[in-house]
Amino acid sequence: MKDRQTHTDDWIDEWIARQRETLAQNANQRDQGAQANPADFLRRWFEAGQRSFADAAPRSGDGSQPFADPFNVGGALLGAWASAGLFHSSLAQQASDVLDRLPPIGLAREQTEGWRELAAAHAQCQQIENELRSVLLKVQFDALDLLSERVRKRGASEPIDSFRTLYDLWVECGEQVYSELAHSESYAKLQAELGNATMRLRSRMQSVIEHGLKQFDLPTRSELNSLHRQIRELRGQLEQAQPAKSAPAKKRATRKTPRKRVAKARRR
Amino acid sequence: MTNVDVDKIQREMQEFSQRFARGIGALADVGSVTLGSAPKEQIYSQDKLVLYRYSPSETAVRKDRVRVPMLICYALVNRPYMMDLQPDRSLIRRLLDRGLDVFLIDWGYPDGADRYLEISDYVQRYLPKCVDVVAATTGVEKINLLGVCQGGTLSLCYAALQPERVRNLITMVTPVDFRTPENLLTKWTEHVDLDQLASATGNVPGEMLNALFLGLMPFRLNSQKYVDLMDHIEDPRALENFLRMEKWIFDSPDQPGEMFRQFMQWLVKENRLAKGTLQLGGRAVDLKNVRMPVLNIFASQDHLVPPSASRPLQKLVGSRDYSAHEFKGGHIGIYVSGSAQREIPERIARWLRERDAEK
Repeated sequence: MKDRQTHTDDWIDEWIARQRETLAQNANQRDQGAQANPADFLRRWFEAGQRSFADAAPRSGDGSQPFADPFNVGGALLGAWASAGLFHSSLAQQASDVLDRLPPIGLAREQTEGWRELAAAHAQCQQIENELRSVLLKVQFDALDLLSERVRKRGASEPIDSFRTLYDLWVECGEQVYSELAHSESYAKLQAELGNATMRLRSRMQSVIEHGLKQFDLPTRSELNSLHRQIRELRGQLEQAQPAKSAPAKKRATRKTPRKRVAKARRR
Repeated sequence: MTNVDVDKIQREMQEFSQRFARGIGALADVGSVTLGSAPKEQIYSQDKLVLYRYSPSETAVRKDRVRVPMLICYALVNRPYMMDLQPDRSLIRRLLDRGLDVFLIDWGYPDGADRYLEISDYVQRYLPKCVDVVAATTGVEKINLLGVCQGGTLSLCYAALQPERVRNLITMVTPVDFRTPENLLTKWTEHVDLDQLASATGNVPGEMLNALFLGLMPFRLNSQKYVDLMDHIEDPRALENFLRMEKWIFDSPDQPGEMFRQFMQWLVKENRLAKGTLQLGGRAVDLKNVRMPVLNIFASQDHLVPPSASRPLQKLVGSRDYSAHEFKGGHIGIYVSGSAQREIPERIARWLRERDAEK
């Protein structure tokens, strides 16, 4: 019986080690799609399932595939700001390249400054994104540590004899570790900093694009915003000029039951 | 060397793979899922807003009928068909079965033209108009108002500003005190530059909010939920239910930029509603004006609107007829779980019936 338990722990240890290896590889490669070499059968099994599911399952609202990598929790979280459509922007990269070659003087000074601000915003965004990615990676490592600890504590009295039990326990550990972080002030600040930096980048990008649109006398979002504001003001003035309708009509306050009224209305 | 446990695990995986393969076929056969089930008709529309009236239930017992019509004010986040997802998961159907005359506001999908809509537009323009239409349609002066989630917060504001139009107020998973320790979304909002957010995005993308909601429990919501799906992927009915829920979760309208900014800044960050410092359209929103009967329903395991955000309503409203109902479940379970279907509509109908006879 003891021998059997030892083997049980072996495969769990192997699975946890494999997860650590995968996380470390992902961290090094900075490639969200990268996977560790699927040497053990557990991992191969799961990946086969993921691939099959990824081909068939409906896509979620932000275009990501939730099942594509059930272990990549950090990537899913970063998606909150990525949904603003800013990361991996070739435009921002172009801005950075252009900056190296253009001095902010002369006729193109204003445009150059715009590109410089865009590049600076992009760099800041990437830096904070990396910080947050590191924090989320640590959550996943800590979750595996906690999982090891929980498995040890269960010991022979409550052996883990199925992959599903191990997986569910991993989820539980992950949520526990993450919850402590998520409620912390430092995490709230870091996540907000990324959001703010992303919005700064987006604003800078809009400025650069709008400048280009104006060169061709094409409408811009700023112009649309002005129109929407004006329409809103005019609408408000119009409603104020009309008599109020919201007050209840006192004549309706009769004892007549609404049932009769409804019936009467239906007969009509 | 033979190892019993590894053999068992290998079998587990083989079974899983086989089930998975069969499930893929089932998934392909499901097709598109239908949403909403109870017959209804559009009785009013304004801008993106549509007001519906549901057809009375044929099985409703006449003597149980609730005289005063009920208007449901749903949140702007997500779509209101959650209240009537499918025949056996429909709070609205269960209310109709109990003799309620149900109206529902669908706020629609805001677009760029709506980015400057404010909270006051919803509380002092759209909602009063819907109340007027419901009242005129049914021949009453006062209506019963059921506010859901953010729609409950808007309903509270309306009831405080126009208490003479609300006979009974029901709030469901409604945040009123946003600054409680359990409220993770509030913590995350604390350092966000909301002015910049609204300015840069215009309308705040629904996808962005969804990603934040998933971030509240990332391991469960991004991973475990889909692994658990394998347990019933061969059951077409269960699969349909799952896909229907997925559709609802990710069918998220963008939030009108200025409305979102005001809501997050005034109500969430500054907690003005609970503090009594909220002003809309130049008028103070004083919850002490909410003197009509109030039924406050919240969920004990709600990770989006923790009970601690809803419970303080009791001390904030001026009503002497306050009731609370704590449902054992989560934010979504309160609409669709089997226990919710049995418990919530009955509680609402009974509570309203008890007050329907009163003057």
